[in-house]
Amino acid sequence: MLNRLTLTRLIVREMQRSKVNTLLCLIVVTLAAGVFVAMMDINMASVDSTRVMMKNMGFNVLVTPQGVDPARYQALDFQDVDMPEEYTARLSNNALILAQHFVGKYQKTIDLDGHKVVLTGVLAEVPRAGTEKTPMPTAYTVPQGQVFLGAAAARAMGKTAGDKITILGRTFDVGRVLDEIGAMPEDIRIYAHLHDVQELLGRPGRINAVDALACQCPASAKDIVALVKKSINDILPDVNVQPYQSILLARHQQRVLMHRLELAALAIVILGSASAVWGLTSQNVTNRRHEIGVLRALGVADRKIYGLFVGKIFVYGLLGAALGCWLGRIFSGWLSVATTSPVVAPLSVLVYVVIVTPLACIVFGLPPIVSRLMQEPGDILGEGTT
Amino acid sequence: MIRLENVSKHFRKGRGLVRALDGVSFEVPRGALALLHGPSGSGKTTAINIAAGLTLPTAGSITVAGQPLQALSPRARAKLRSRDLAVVFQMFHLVPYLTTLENVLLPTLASSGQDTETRARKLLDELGLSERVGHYPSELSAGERQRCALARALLNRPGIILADEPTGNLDEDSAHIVLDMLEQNRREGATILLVSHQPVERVHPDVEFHLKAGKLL
Repeated sequence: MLNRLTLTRLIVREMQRSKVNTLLCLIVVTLAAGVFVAMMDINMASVDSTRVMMKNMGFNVLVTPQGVDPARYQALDFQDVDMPEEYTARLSNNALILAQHFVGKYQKTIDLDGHKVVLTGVLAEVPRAGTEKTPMPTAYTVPQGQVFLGAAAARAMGKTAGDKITILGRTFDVGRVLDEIGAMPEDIRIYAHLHDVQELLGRPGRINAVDALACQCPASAKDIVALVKKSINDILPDVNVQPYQSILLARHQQRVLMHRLELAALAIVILGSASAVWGLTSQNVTNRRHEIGVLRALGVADRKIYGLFVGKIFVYGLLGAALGCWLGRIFSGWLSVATTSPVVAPLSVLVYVVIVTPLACIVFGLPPIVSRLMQEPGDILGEGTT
Repeated sequence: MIRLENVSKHFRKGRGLVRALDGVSFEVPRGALALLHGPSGSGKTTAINIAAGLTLPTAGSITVAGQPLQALSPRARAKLRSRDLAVVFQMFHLVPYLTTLENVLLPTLASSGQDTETRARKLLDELGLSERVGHYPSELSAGERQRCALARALLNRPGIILADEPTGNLDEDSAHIVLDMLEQNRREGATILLVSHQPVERVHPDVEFHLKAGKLL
């Protein structure tokens, strides 16, 4: 028995009838939501790809003790200046620092069987507090009693994995021969456990460099080199901070570019879809003006008439958001083929899209509805004809 | 009871001022059938819209069912329409995406009642539309649409019926069905204001008013 018509019934019946209007609204909202999710995916893919590329390029910040001459340092003269080993922990334990992936090391250029090599003592990489990071590809964890040989050093000395090698009077097992990098001094390094090297050099508890990877600088930051330096010097005032600007800036500029592209795309999507929703709602309300007039003539409360239109907008807003998320997911699947790790917008983004899209549609669609409902019903039903 | 006292309605159209009604006063006693006739453009529809509270007069006062309409809020006027008053339009104004039965049940959006579907079907049956309950307005003839609109107006047993040229677009048989139904409601106690641009032979009005160029003759 149909004793009472409900708004839901009217909304569904009207959507069934005005298929073109409903379909156009749905397409507009789906595209807007889809583009939003896709933009998130593109941003993530770009940031992820750059992150991996940058990571493969190695550390981009070098922290050395105060008094080290950078020019001599670059010439592999590490000078006899060092700092406490616990500096690494002090850096990594600070959540405000604009860097991550810290490796404390002690390095010294030595002559080994007539070959110049860089003896490098390292500890396992430490991520910044509160983060879980996969280690940098150029960071090594060397067991005590073993060494890893740079490709050029191993070739010069004729060593392979499993051989023995004597360094400063102590014999080590060659655990690995590292792949050739093609850059100095990496290919002439001999990596050992930090504590082994400290013992060999008689500098227990000391290091003479910390490698770090910066940064998580805000996209709006102007001078990120100064910013990174400051964030480290705030914790350790007695160290030199030497960022490798080209690597640091490349990553930062990429982040800024993506951020701006994202904003521009979002502005276009929002303005485009807002205009479309406005126009389509306006058309729908105009086509149904006599219906509005009749409903008011029958004494139907304005809030119910609003409900009739807003309800429809909400339905296609919600459906469009869901379809947009689905399209965005398909897009991210396609995008993931070209990235190093799968790119999927996080669930929070999808939830945000599903909640915000219908509300935004209502905001964009409301003005034409309000405008029509502010008219006297007599005007709508053609008072001018007298 | 419907009472208009010195009611005027003026509005601008282009650069000119249209005096749709100019100092019109009349009263339709409770339970009476009044015929308001006059040529096209004389202000009949404006009078109906004002009496229904669908538009407010520029000047004068209007009392319907004992209530001064200008003093009521739009919400209160809507409530009055949903409870005591029904309007039948010349152009029917059926909702195109609803069936005949659903159109008749449209007033239930404003006020609930018991057995409204039974009442709707009975009205449609009395108006000869029992075979058309599932049809859409586009599938009905003009006469059937007006009968559907009349059934919609009568669903809540209104005490006041304002009918604006209800037979203006109908053939003779359909017009007779509509007018007979209005007569029947008058006998049952409804107050009816019937607007027509031509004489209506089928009804016997208690009072008649003639409008010309917005003035009562």
